[in-house]
Amino acid sequence: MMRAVLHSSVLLKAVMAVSGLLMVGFLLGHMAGNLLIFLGQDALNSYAAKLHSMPSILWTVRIGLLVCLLAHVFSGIKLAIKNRQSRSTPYKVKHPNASTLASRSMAITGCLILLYICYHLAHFTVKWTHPEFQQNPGDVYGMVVTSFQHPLIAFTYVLSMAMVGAHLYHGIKSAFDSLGFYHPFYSVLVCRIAKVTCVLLALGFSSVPVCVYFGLIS
Amino acid sequence: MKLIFEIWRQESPDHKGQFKTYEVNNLDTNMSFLEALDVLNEQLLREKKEEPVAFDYDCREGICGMCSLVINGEPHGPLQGVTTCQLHLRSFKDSERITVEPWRAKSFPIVRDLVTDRSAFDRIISSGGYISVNTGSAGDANAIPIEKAKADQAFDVAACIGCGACVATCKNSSAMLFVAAKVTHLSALKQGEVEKEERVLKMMTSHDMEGFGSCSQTKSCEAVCPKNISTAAITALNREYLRAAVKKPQALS
Repeated sequence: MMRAVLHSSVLLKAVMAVSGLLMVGFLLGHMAGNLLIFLGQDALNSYAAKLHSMPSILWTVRIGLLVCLLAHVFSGIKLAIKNRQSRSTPYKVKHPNASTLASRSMAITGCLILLYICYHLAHFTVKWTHPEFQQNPGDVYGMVVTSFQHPLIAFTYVLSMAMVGAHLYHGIKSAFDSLGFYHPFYSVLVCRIAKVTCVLLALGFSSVPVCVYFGLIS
Repeated sequence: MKLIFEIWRQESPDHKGQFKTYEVNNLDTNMSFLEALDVLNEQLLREKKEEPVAFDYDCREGICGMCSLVINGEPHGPLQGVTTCQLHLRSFKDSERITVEPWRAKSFPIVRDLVTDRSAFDRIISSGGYISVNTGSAGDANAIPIEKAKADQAFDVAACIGCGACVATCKNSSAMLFVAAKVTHLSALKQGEVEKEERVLKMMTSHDMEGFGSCSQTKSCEAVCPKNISTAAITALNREYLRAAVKKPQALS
């Protein structure tokens, strides 16, 4: 069965779709948690403390996410290699023929998001980029505010969220197509919900660094 | 009318190709694009300097699927829902520079100039794109009742002429729209229901083995398809494939 998955483009796309949708579900939860920052220091810190008080759930989610990420990246690389090999001579005149920029740059936005995830984990989870955060690991609010007052960090996060938005603009709808979901009415609805979700995620996540940088949260 | 053609010339599959520019005068706006190439070839034959440009065609009525050509980056040219043979020079401006390239895909090797070998499509069809029926005289037309909605659904995708424009435009050179059209056409009908699972698995295995890429759902194939086949067929193909893979995992290999 595993061999069949590795050699079938439809099954590899299905793996990408399922892992991708699960990660979108996580992102929605993550964003809801992040937005607690607007309710004040106590709301965010107590939420973080509550998550850390349930290590079994926390680690199940972390391991699940890692599996999803690895499956998504592995399938993506395997498909991308085959897709690149399918045309040896490029066209002289390139025409988009109805395709969007987001749909044509999924591999690029995906790679940038992967780089961002590595930085994000090094920044807030293992705190390699800011060892001083180790002294008071419970003060998530403090970590966020200190970090995003730095223009380069705030800009990196906002740019990365634009990448996430672009990736999901095509990705969510494409995932439903890869899984064979089609209905004359609900497919249109899914397409609209997908677009709203990617805009919500990009704006929701970006709102934190933007508001901190401009002093609306301090 | 005058047109400047920039055409891909390649002597044989082993030779290196290159673009060459030709100016063709005294064209009529009512000529088809292929007729303009005929005029160019007559000019080349008269001049006796170069071989005529090789390009595929057959019916010149938009139904055989033989003509191809990527014109200014668009398979079958700028008009929607037509093949190259049905494209007329009135769609171009006088003295316009037009780049003409062959279908570019590893699975469609170039034979000469603008002619490509599209036999990969035939191999996909022979892997499962058929229905098994007893030979003999045709059965009674109304012996198997098919509801109107199903017949329409099957007919919409049966319109595929297998020209390969979907492969030519796809950034992954995927032939999923072609396979989807054939699979959904046959499985929508009672006659094709018997081999439904085996068909989709075999045809997609053949598609992948021929070296076509995967579908990224950019919908560019739908935009250039001369028969306006919708990418909803690809979604239906994915659904059928996944269902078949669950029902008959042994058939996957």
